[in-house]
Amino acid sequence: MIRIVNCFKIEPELDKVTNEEWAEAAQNGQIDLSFLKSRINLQDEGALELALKFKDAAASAGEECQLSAISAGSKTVNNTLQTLAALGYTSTDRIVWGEEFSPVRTARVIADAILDKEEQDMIICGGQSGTGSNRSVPLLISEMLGIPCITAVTEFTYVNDKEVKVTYSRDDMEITEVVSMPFVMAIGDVQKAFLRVPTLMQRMASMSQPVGEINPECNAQEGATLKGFRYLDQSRNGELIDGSNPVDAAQIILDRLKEEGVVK
Amino acid sequence: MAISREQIVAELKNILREEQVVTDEKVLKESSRDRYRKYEQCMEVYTQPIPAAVVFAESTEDVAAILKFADENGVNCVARTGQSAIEGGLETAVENSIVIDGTRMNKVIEVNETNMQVTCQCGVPLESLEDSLREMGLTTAHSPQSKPLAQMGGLVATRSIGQFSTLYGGIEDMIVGLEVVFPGGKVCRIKNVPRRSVGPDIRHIVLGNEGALCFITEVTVKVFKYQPENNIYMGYKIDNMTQGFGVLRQVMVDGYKPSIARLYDVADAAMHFDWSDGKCVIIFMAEGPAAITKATAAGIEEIIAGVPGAEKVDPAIIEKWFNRLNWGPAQIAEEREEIIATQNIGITTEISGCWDCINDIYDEVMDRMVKEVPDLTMIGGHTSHSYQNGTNVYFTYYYNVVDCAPEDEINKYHNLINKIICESAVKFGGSIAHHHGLGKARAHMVWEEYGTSFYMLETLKKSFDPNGIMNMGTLIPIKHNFDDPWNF
Ligand SMILES: Cc1cc2nc3c(=O)[nH]c(=O)nc-3n(C[C@H](O)[C@H](O)[C@H](O)COP(=O)(O)OP(=O)(O)OC[C@H]3O[C@@H](n4cnc5c(N)ncnc54)[C@H](O)[C@@H]3O)c2cc1C
Repeated sequence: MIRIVNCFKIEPELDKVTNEEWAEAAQNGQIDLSFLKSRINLQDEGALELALKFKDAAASAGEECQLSAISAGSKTVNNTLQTLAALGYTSTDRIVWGEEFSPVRTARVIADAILDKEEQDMIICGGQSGTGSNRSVPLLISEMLGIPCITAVTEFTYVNDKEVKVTYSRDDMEITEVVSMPFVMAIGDVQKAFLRVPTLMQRMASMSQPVGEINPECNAQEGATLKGFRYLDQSRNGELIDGSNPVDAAQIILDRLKEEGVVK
Repeated sequence: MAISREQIVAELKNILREEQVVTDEKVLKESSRDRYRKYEQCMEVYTQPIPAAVVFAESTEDVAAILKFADENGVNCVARTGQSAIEGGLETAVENSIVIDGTRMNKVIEVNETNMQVTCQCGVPLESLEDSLREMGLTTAHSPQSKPLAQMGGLVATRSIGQFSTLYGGIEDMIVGLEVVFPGGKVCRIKNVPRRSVGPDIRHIVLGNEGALCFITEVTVKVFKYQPENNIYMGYKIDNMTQGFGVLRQVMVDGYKPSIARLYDVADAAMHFDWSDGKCVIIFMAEGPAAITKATAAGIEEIIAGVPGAEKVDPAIIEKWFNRLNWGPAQIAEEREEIIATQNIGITTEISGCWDCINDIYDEVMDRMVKEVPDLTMIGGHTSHSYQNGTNVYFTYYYNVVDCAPEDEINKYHNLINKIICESAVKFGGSIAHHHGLGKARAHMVWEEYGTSFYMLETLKKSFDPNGIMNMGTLIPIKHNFDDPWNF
């Protein structure tokens, strides 16, 4: 039996906030995102689907996997936890948590929740969330649990009940190696990693599995809160250049760069 | 004897400039269908006859010449503009069809601020027209969710409707005059007047013809004052759809005219809003002069006050959400990736019914879908267009495509679902299509939909298109499986 826990987060669809809204919000020091629908953080979504694929592959090799999911956040996440239950996650817990910007404290409450479970073989997180964006929660969890962490993972496949083949990227290289469990994984950018969708039948069949609620000992009031932010204009200008062949086009670009003082 | 594919292309190149006639294989294949076969599109499978050519008409004369040639030689023609059709209207159901693309006819001919009307060619994109009118303080008030995709010709040809319809009506309430070309090349112009009593309203022969009777080259629609500063958004959580239909009816019957009136069931609300908490959601927007919007909002508030358990939602949330509702090319590309990766596909079917049957239709569909459709992952519905006598329901459904070749998906899932929804609509006396048109899909229920009045539709088709060259299979099927109509 391989025990896997996915730690994930849902976040508002920030790409739906317009530049004007960001600029205006930056002036007020606060942004209201309550109108946005939440979705699973992209890297977490990849992580969840990879875990399900791993479970399927292990099952065809005769190995059983037990999947659990933990999310620290508001009760908005309950819908997603119910979806995961329908997809075969046998334990789905929400840590009652309202902090976005306290990676150490967030990692602490997640690590505590994991320690309260049976010993886990793989702890899978997304590498980074869209809102907190501090890239440190998985590393902190691994430190707190005292087990290694592999970052920027793009794939992992079943080898046997002790080992997993993990592919991760380092700089521009992709490395694959066989790793012994237990370990923490921070999933990087997995191409087209959408979470599968349970049928209504599967949903109904999992209705009896309640979403667990964990109340951490940390007091949420003590953490960091958003005091303000700046708007960085990262817009770029695109222009079509009319060059009938590559030599012409290169010349036009060169002339333009000279004109703008980028090259002499 | 039927003219060959090569002869068709050669003749088209004689009629038009060579550059206007496209025979690139990829273009032809993509032009053989529309979003009705969304799954086939994603999986790059082609099941329909591939057209002989796509021609880019640049003038009414071009269209007339093509339709003359096609009529003389019995060549099927499929008109298109924005290509956002979702009921098979763009499928080239007959071998060696010509797709007549009107997108190059994209001039705004006149904005008449005295008569409050705009005249434009069929290929004018609605969004760009609307943006430029807004800069002048005007609006078409036509805002289908496909505003970033659709163009004026297609919008008239499908009897489209926008999200502000409860105040402004559908395109049929906005259209003033038209220019169209019939098979054989006959050009007809219907003049721009506020109203007239000179026999039947012949604009209705053109409206909703879906390219099966004529090609629309020019349209004149009304424009209105654009005064968003007076808009008042409202939103409430309510317990169930029966309550919601009741509220919508009372708002309409009491004489209020919000521009937006939308009611979401629990499942559909959960797709849109994090805050719906397992409830239905009802949304309104009052639009127009300040005195009217205030009175409309107050009237609706009063009606809602009588609904037990109704809970108000912050209007700012509703406004910001609504402003992101439209679908453009980016959403379509994203959706495609997701379908390919998950094999989970979402589609919609919209029907309408009077107040005394709409709830029954809704309940029947919900009940049958869960029982009869395999691999269903979501079924929900909302109403978005209400009238004095009834409303529409826009069913949204998702399913996993399981153990099924891409070419079989349409019969195994999509048609089965359309069958359930259309049968339920007809059973209780509603209509099988509120605004997407019959296309080639729901055309298979045209007899049930029209009843004895099918005679009138058939007569129109026979009179205006005696040689059967206009988008054959649309509105009236050319091949129909009478034993199993939804298997094609
Ligand atoms: C994401 C999405 C959202 C949508 N939302 C709405 C909505 O809110 N309301 C609504 O009403 N519809 C909606 N639709 C459906 C569709 O956008 C409309 O039917 C629209 O009117 C089609 O316009 P088009 O220019 O894209 O036409 P096309 O897709 O090019 O053609 C549609 C039909 O009209 C015929 N046609 C096109 N141009 C002409 C012409 N010049 N002369 C004669 N026939 C012609 C075609 O043969 C075809 O049968 C939606 C579609 C999508 C994909």
